[in-house]
Amino acid sequence: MTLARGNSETSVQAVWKGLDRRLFPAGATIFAEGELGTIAYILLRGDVTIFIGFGTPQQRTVTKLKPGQMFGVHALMAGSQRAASAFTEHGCELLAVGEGKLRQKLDDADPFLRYWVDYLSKRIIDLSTQ
Amino acid sequence: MHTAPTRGQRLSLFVTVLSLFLFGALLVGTGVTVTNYVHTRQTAARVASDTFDTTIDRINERRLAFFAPVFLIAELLRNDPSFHQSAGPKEAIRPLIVSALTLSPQISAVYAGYDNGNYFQILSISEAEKPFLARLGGPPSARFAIQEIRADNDGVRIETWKFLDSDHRQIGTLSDDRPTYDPRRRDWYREASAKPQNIARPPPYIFATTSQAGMTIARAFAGGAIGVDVTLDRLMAYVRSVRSNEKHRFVAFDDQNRLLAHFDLDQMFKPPRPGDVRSTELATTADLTDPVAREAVQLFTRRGPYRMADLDVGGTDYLATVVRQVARDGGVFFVLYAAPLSDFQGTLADAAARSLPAALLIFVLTLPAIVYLAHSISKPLARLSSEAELIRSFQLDDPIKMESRVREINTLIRSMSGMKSTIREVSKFVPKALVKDILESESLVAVGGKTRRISILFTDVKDFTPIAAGIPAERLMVNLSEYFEDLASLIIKENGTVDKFIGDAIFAFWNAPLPVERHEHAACATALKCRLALLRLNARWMEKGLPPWHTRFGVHVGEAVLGNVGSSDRIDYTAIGDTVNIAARLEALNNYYGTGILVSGQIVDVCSNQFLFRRIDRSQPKGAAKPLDVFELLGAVDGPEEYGVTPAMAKLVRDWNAVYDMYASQDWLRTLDALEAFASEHPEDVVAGIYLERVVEFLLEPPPENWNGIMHFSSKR
Repeated sequence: MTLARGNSETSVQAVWKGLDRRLFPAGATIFAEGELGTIAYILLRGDVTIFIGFGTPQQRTVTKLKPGQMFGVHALMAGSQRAASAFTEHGCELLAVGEGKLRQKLDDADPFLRYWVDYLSKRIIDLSTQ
Repeated sequence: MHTAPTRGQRLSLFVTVLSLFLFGALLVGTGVTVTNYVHTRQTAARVASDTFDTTIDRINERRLAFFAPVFLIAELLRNDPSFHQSAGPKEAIRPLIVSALTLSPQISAVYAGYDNGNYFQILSISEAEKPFLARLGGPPSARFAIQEIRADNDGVRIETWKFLDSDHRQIGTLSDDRPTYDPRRRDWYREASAKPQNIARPPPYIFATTSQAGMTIARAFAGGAIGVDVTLDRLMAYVRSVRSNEKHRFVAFDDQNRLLAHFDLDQMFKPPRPGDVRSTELATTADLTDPVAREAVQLFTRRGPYRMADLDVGGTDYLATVVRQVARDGGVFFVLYAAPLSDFQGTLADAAARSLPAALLIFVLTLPAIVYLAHSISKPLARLSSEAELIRSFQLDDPIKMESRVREINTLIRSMSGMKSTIREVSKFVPKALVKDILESESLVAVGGKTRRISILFTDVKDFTPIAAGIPAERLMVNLSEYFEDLASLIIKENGTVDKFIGDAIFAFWNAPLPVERHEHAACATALKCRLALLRLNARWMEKGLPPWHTRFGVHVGEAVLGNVGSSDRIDYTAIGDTVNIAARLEALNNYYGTGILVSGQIVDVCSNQFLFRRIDRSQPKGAAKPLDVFELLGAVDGPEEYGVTPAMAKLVRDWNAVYDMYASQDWLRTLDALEAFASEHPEDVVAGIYLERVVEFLLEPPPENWNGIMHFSSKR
């Protein structure tokens, strides 16, 4: 942890600005494949399943998330459409992390890591569009 | 540390100076008295010597006058042919002799003895001779008696007496045909006959006729000798009369120590032997009974004649002289004269009694001047002494304003004034408490240190570098001085030691070099007061259009090495050790937590009863050996309004403790709930923001199960 943090920008109010707690009922779709994605989520409570081709015969479960896991980051990073859908079977509580917050985290990160994240994101997009 | 040995009660300077003056005055008075006495004594000795000379001269003159008619009549009769004839008539010479006897009462008899045993005498009848006259059977009114012893043609010696009255008329006769008196067997006759060229002067003796002390002057002529009897009582009476008083002693004695004169005529002859009514043996100096005369003679025996000598007889001082005299006939004799010294000079006590009242009067008259002088010396010195005590107690503000009429004291005043201002100025460069300690303890400054528990305060101005870049350097120095003056004076007022100014930072501590009770509390209170002072300073500056400064404080307590660091020429008194570093790190952590005053858990352990703290974190700053419980100092419990605990502060701590308890349980989801609730009440709280971010991170990547809650920092600032 590095110092030089404390200022008005780091007040609890300011920190909350980039975060949003959201409740989704059972059977709700959090985001759908193909939507423009600007927000990532951290699963606080409940269940979330990531599907590809959700609602189609080609539907395929990518992963089932547990509390404390983040999802939706890919679209945020690449600034593109959602590549998968997020669905809650029994309902869930999520902490939405805005793009600005994530960008700030990236900006605070080591330049090497920042480059690496950007590179991987682009490579994933490239591969998925091929 | 050097400590002066304890001594008895010291006298004040005024008393000492006054005593010295008094002692000096007394000494001078005594000295003058003694000198006067000694001088008087010397004068007395001279006066006594002159008096003795005069007296002896007068006695000599009287002696000469006394004996002049004696010698004259002796010489006249010796040259008178009619007197040489043993059987011739003496009528022609008789008037001369009678006149001489009349005019010279000291001559009691004039007579002549002849080879054939004849004898002629004219006796002056005075009161002393009356008994003799009565025994002889002469008329009581006789003034002169003429005795003649003559042998007739048959060789029968006949003695006849004729008596004359005062008019020289014969008033009676007596005769005796068997006289026993024979002049040729008398000492005077034999001595005169033995030395016919000289006057015979046998020593005094008791006259057979009158039992009076006297002496005979005898002179031989062809066929006989002349004798003149002189009674000494008149001479002795005169000798006594020339004495000033009865205490004066006069003794004359010849070269065989036989007395020729004595102030007490009774002492002229030896004491009578048992059975004798009266002694007729002449006394010598060995027979002297008067102690003064004996002492004077003993001195004469040891060293011969002396002009003047001091004698101590029975505790009384006497002056004495023994001088050599030559008689008319060439004989040598000595005159002793002695008198009490007190006749010429009073005693020392008398002198003191005479001098002391005058000395006392002078002293009393000069006492105001003495007191003034003692004051003029002691008063400035007493004030200087007070000034020295003020310097020792480090009260250096007021300059020394005083003067003395004494030049050396004035120099001392100037020197001390210079020293005071120098210490005042120099003490600005070093901790005042240190200078005070050195002044009070008189200890020597040497390199070295000792471990002590101290409370440390570090201050730093937030973003000072851009502030400094934004204003002219001169203005910056003025602002910085004003800032340091306000804060440093507060620290010193709270018994803190300002170790040094480091740029815009202040490093201060408590409990060294002087012990400070409850120094942890003092450090906390000072931090709060500094915060308040800074608010006021900023208010002033903002009125002038100057940007405000925000100062961060770090307070810690612990063991540190206190002492002198440097070379023998340049020494800094400072504190070093991990405790100092931690205080500095605490100050720096304010930047991270957005806080103003961060203190360590060690401070909170001691001071939580009097100050309100908010738990901030468990941190391990870079370089710190151990993790640190970090708290924020908010205010003083029951403190003044300016920096006392407010209800808002109390609520903040209560609300935050709820969050922190959840955080400590490491239930991050519920901590998030708690932070959300806290944020609604305290939206501007930076610490909660930090924790919110931290909790979000923990949601994504929880710390290890054995995590102890310590946050590690990778940089110092």
